[in-house]
Amino acid sequence: MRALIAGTILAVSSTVLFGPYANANHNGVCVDSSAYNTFLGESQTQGREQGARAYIDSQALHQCNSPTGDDDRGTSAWVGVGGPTGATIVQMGIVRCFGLGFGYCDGSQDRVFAWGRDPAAPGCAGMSIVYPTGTNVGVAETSGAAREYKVVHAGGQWNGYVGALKEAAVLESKICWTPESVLYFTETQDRGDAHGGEATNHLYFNEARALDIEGGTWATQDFGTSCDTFFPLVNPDVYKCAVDAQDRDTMKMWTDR
Amino acid sequence: MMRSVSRVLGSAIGVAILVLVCAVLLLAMPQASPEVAGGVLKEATVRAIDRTDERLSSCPGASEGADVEATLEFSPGSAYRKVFPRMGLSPELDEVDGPVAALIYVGPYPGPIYWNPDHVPDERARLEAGTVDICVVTPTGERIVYGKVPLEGFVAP
Repeated sequence: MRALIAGTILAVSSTVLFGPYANANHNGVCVDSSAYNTFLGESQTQGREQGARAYIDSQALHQCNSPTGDDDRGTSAWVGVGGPTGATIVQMGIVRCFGLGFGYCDGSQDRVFAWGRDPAAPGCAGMSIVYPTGTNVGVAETSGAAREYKVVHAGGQWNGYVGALKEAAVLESKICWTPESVLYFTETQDRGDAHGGEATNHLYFNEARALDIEGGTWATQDFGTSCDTFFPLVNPDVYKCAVDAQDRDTMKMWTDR
Repeated sequence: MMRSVSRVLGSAIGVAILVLVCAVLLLAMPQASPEVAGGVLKEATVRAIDRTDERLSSCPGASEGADVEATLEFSPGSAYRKVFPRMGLSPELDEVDGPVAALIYVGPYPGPIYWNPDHVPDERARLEAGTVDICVVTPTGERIVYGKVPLEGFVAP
């Protein structure tokens, strides 16, 4: 019964919210720069999270098309650890974004490290809010072998890696909250942006791992049989996410307009 | 013999008096402001800067595209609570001895925010009355965006 209700809500929401904007292309026309971010992927809770890592395909991500060019937009893919509120996250990933005067959001595809803080989170009373806005730490490949993205707590810092290279870090004194989930996901800023790859070229997250104890052994993630549902809801007819039936530490995302 | 002993004693007393006078003078000198975590008691020099200041180029909308309440530089960065008295503690600024550039937005921060997907806040209610979003750039080029900073007590330069 709950599944039926959830399915009905999904169907109605997608028709109302997204129906008019779907077009025949992988990425759509920019619609609403002030819309909610949307997400596809997995959030797993398994203890005192100390790290997350996964291989993410090296392929071009696609943001929406803006006929006037002045609409901010962006699409990204991340691994991270999350806390109890919206701003509490440490993440490392790939971003392609655009916005006039928006710093590194110039349409290029970049490696980005982001962290945030929120006084509403336990342990953070009296602290300022830091929004996870991201720091560009380099260019992300759009072809070739998948690269491993990782965040890990070590040496009094939260560190962001691409492969074996530490690209960025934030002192744990700035991260007053306690992680409660490991995250593997794609994200968009505009309803015209594409999640992940195309129908014929999915974006894969492979060999997802999580760390429970600093300095301990990385555990293989089991994503179960399907991706998680994040809010706000996305149109499931357009934005797809699936867990590999044979390798449940692997999932793929794509947009099928 | 007696004369040389009294000469040595006299020299020792002279040195002792000199040290005492120096100590008194040092104690009487004006002291630097005590440093307190969060920069509460630190003095800050504050001046207005142009929104096209190169340091602000990493702040979305600085040069164009965003309504800006004020752009300023304050030094040291660790004195942030002298400039924004109601701002929460910010350990990343406590370490900053040099000047920081800051941009105060009129509305919500216009650039992308990469939220925790498990707890996405309601965008429409992001700013609270009397608060602003501020983009700060440290001397090392690090950009930090502070949300919902109370403006109470802030005086624009």
